[in-house]
Amino acid sequence: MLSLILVCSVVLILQEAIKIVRKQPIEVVMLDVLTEIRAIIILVLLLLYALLIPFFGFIVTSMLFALAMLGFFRVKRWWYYLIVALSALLIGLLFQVVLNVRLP
Amino acid sequence: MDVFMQGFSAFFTLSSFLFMNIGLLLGLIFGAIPGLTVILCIVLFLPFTYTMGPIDSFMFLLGIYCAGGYGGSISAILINTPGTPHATATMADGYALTKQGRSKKALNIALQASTFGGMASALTLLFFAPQVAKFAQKMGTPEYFLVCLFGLTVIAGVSGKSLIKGIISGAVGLFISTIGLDPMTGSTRYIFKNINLYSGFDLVICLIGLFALSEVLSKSKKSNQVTLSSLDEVKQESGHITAKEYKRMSLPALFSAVVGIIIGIIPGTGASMASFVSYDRVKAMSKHKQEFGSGSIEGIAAAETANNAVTGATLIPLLTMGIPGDGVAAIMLGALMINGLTPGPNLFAKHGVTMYAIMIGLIFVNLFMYLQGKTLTKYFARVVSIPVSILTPIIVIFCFAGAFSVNNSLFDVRVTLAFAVIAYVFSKLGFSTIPILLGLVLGDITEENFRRSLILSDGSWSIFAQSPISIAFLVIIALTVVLIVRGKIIESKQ
Repeated sequence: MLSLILVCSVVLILQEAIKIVRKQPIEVVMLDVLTEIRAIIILVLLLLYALLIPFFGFIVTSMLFALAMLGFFRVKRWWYYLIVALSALLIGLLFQVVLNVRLP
Repeated sequence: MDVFMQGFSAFFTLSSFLFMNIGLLLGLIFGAIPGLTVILCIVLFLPFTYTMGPIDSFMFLLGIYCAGGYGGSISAILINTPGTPHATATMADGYALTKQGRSKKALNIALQASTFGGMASALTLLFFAPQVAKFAQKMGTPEYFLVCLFGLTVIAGVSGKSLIKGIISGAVGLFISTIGLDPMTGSTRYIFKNINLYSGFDLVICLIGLFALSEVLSKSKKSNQVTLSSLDEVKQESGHITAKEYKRMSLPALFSAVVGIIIGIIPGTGASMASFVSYDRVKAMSKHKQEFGSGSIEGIAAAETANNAVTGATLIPLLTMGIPGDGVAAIMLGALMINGLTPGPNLFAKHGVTMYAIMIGLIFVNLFMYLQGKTLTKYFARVVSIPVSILTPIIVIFCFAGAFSVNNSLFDVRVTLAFAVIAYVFSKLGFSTIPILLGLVLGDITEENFRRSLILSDGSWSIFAQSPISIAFLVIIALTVVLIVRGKIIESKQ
């Protein structure tokens, strides 16, 4: 399986190389730096969320994460913060009480 | 007939109707909100089905699946944004009608076409699945392997623009499926002495990462704040469809239903393909070609019939042979296994009553989808405008709780994050993630049957060409490969 991935990758690289040599139009992936930075920030938030669960417990971390997310989106309406914090609590309880999952 | 009646009575309980309607409601909501897909909805709510029985959980999942097919068209018609990818074909004509102030008519057509497509598909399932199952029982391990191989072949063809990228994604999926214990010898593979990798990756964990969390990463910027001006107009017109219009739409709808069903049966294809193919064909056959794209009722009818006609047909290979046709079906396969129903040719023989209950249930799912759509669509128009900033954190919390609940392990939560990053990078580079999923799902069954056949034949490859069924499958596979490669070559020359 790994060798198949390798072979295909080589073919793909060769294909592009031929295109470059022949000066055919090649597909260029444009990355918007701002979008990527935002994606990385979200990823960091997600990582923090995953790493902090054992320390603060699921529900508290979820609420913190939800608030941080809204802060990241620069949401100004205060009731949005209330809604997500409450839903974090609700989801936690749903899993714990209804589905009998022992959340950390 | 005996099994049929037993299946009917097994299905006809209050709880199956209850879960069916909850599923339909969720499917409509998730389908209608742009950016939330049916597969996301199913992945998020899958943990809830663990405590239900097989029939209830299937009614719940099928409700989401079917209603999502219609829900996507609500936002496509009202705000010119497809709620789900397969509603894209509906968008041009649907939104054109909205601009003419006839959005209610467009929604009515979409709902009736979806119901028609779904019903036709459900009936096909009910009549054909038992026949296919009888045929499937005659298949041995080698034939079974070839069916899987056929599924894997089709994946490469229908995934994204580049065939090679599709093959790479599929191979990545297959590779991930080999992590863990070897199914034949019990030795460990690629686990790097990490005890958490011992049993491999759970399908649900991968799915949450690949399809739910990765969406969150890519949604960092987009906002779906929309103007709701078009919504007020919904109430004013009657939305009545005349007999003449029914007559105009009947043939395209019937044709699209057939196309949708055939595409649905082939593994690796999906609703998007069905709706585009039938939209194209109906356009080519129509006497009113110039209307397409600017508010053609036939166009909406064709696209919507086709994408719901896929729903029942995908269940045919799933229930008879255990081969999932698309992502949603792959998750349903997981739901079957959780309930102790081993997918495969013997499913109908061993659990006939449950199978009939599920198939009969699908007919009712479509019936209730019509009723819910009829009464609730005007309220769902508002759901379309829920801001992304509120939805995103809620989705993430659901993902994490769901990932944790599978094995009660925080390691799994971190695995979903890794998969989310992989899927995000892949999509940035133009790789489709669907082949990864199908590779993952088909990987285990393919490997097991391949190696078991080789053990039966003492390592001789001729076992794959011994029975007439195998030879037929080999021919089909060869034909598909030729067709796919030829199609790609023609495409690249243009």
